[in-house]
Amino acid sequence: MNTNDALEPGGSGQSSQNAGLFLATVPIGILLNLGIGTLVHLLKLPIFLDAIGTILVTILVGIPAGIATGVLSFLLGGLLVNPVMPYFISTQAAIAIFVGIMARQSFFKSIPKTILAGILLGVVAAVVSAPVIVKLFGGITGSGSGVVTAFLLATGKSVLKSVVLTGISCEPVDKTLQCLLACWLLQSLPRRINERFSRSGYFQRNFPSK
Amino acid sequence: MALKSPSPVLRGIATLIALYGAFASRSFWLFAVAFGVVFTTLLIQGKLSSFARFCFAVVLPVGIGLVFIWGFVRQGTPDISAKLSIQAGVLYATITTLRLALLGGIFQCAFLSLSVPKLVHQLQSFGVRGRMLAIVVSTLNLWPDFRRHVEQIIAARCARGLMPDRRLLTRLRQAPLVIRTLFISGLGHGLDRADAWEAGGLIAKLGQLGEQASITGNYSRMVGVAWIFAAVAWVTAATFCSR
Repeated sequence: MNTNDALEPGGSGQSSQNAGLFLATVPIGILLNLGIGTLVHLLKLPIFLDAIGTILVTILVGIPAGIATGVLSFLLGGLLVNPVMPYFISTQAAIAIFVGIMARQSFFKSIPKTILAGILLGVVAAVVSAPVIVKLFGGITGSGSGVVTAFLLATGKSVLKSVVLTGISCEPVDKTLQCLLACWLLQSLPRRINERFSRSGYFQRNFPSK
Repeated sequence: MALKSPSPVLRGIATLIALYGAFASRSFWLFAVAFGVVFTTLLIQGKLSSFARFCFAVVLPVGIGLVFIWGFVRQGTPDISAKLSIQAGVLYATITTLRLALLGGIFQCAFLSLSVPKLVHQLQSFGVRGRMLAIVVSTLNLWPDFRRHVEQIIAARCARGLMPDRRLLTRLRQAPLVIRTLFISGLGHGLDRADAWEAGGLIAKLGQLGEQASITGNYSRMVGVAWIFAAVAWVTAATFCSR
């Protein structure tokens, strides 16, 4: 089986159309992840905003395309932006899978449901990335959330518990913002473009009026 | 004379072994030796400035944070049973920082200097082919365009009077609108580009580019074996001398 066919959500029937969408959306998703994530990191904000592209592509084209976006973003980010990014590819894969599951249940149809999906996504991301932060960074990543970790460590909590709790306190805000921003971007798509995505991913299921 | 480089498979294996060694190492002497190799390699490759940028932008802030937290807040290591002292905390923070810098340095040594055809061949040897390969190459080429496009959007918004000035705060306030324009125009161009690539058979041509790199790639088995030997020696020393 061809690797590309395996990555297409619609299977072999829609293969050609989905392959085109895959090729069109994944690079844009990668650039959004890297561009916005770099800007936020440079400003030392206590958020990441480095998975907007992953969320967008997952909703537009499907889980395999989302995983490809997230994983390639962080692998290429290792070359272009920051060489420690590749160690977080598992978090991006988890984000794509979770967003895909939520989108399949039409969780991005309304704002309250989107907020709920964002909060749950934050918890998932926090749990998946905690072991990497502990092992690689010793608990501090250099982003604004390090202050929260420092406070928790000072109270005597273990490093893993401190990192997980920091993640759970910061990530839901970050991921909710990302989910809301992704939905706003998808709602802004002109008819000419969104017609191309009517039969792929979970776009129609979550934005039926478009 | 062009420098010979190891074949993609040997390069990948040597990198993985070296990264494992960086995780295992706890000795300052071993870090000094490893950094000596990394510095020399990056200097020969002409990529030392990228490593310096990484150290100042990422490693230094993390290092300062770690020294403050483990040395002065927690005053110890994550091992709860260990004796508490500022010295132990600072030592742990320093080793973690050095390890982080080394992990980044090894990654940069292995992949940063690769030309696009060699990177294509490297990815092909890891099983990345066809459309996935096209995505990687188009992303690498789109990155400079993307940054230029951001500036163009900001300039256009200024010209239309939608953005009063170019100060950082104003740029931040305008960020969502800029991202929206960027996303919609990028997606539109991406769809057109994908259609053109499919129609023009560019994906097959990309495969040929990788094959061409394998022929004219100046690969050397001896250099590859030397890389593997150095990586194994490093991991052995890191494992046994750090106990």
